[in-house]
Amino acid sequence: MSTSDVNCVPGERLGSTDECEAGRGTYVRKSFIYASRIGKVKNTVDENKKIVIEVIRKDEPPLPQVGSIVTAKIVQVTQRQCRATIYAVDGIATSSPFKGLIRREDVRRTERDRVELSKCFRPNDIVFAKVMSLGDSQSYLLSTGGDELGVVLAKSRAGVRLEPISWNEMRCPLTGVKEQRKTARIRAEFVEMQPAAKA
Amino acid sequence: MELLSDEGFRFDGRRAAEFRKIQGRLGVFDHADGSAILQQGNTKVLAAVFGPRQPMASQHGAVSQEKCIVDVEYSRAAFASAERKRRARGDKKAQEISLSLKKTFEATILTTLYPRSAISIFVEVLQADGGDYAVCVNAATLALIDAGIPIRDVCCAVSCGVAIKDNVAYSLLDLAYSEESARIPTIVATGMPKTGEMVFFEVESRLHMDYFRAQI
Repeated sequence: MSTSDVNCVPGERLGSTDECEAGRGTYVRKSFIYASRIGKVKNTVDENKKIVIEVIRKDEPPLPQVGSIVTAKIVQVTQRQCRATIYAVDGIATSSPFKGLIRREDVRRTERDRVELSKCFRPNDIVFAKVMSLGDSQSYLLSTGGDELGVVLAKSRAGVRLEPISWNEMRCPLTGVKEQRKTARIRAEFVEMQPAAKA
Repeated sequence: MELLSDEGFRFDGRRAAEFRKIQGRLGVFDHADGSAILQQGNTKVLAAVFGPRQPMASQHGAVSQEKCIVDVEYSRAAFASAERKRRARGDKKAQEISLSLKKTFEATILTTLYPRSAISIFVEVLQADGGDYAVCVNAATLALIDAGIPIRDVCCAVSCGVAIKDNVAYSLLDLAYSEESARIPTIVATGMPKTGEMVFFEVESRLHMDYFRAQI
């Protein structure tokens, strides 16, 4: 495993597919691996004992992919679906916000047909969600099914950050009022990090 | 009019196959994901790349599940040439150039990596002194590299004129405005040097096949 100091430019030949495999930042053409961007060449050995050639760039904003966990802010809640804006993919901020959509049946895994969206999300909640598919041309289809997905940050009517008390309830520490949310079960230290990521 | 003197020099003192001075800078524009300013002689072009990002409402018709949309907008500053001109954005000439730039970069960018996304490239000619199109391609490539967008190869373009002297064709590389306006056959070629592919090729006047071969 090594990141060499060798810089490369797009179109540079880095190796052949007989010995190596093409990783990120490369492409294959006529059984040779070429660089597709500027950066440093990195060679790693994978489990098949094959060398993977990658071109590493420092600042690479991510794009939502199927299966990735995104951080999104709820924008609009209707009876059938809920719109969200994606700000980060796998904890890394995106270069620009993306639109996401959570359908009613994708909120949780059990009793999917009895979901009431107004009891799961409110506008301005910060949620963790998984990208199910790239959806239509307008937005990514998201799902909050699973224990670790759902609302991570929400404010109560009093304007205080809510504390999760169960998988479907959150409590306001100031007034003690319970509000219903589809909460995510996350480690405490991770929640502390979230406000910075949101800003 | 003699474009090439008896000693083999051009108007500005270059040899036939000599380029103008090339200066460039990357990351000049904070707002964009990638940007570059490139100057070849007195031709200066600013290029900015945005994306990959979510397609805008106007682009939804073109969204594809397999590859990303590449949009190029070419414009020319009113103060770019000696005569001050106020051109409407998207006039016929600019549209044509935008379209050929779009074709060029669709072939250059690995578009299959970003399905359902859009990449926008904006090129603005700040100073026009010949070879505008070629400099636009070069500046846009630099901006793409700055943005870290995967491309097949560094895409380069050059303009080239044919000067015939004593029945021998000389190709004048990287034409300046004074040479372009001399109404000589001009070729604009865009290629990928490492892979040796030609991406875009344009000849704007009649050119004899014999001379054409000499150019290539």
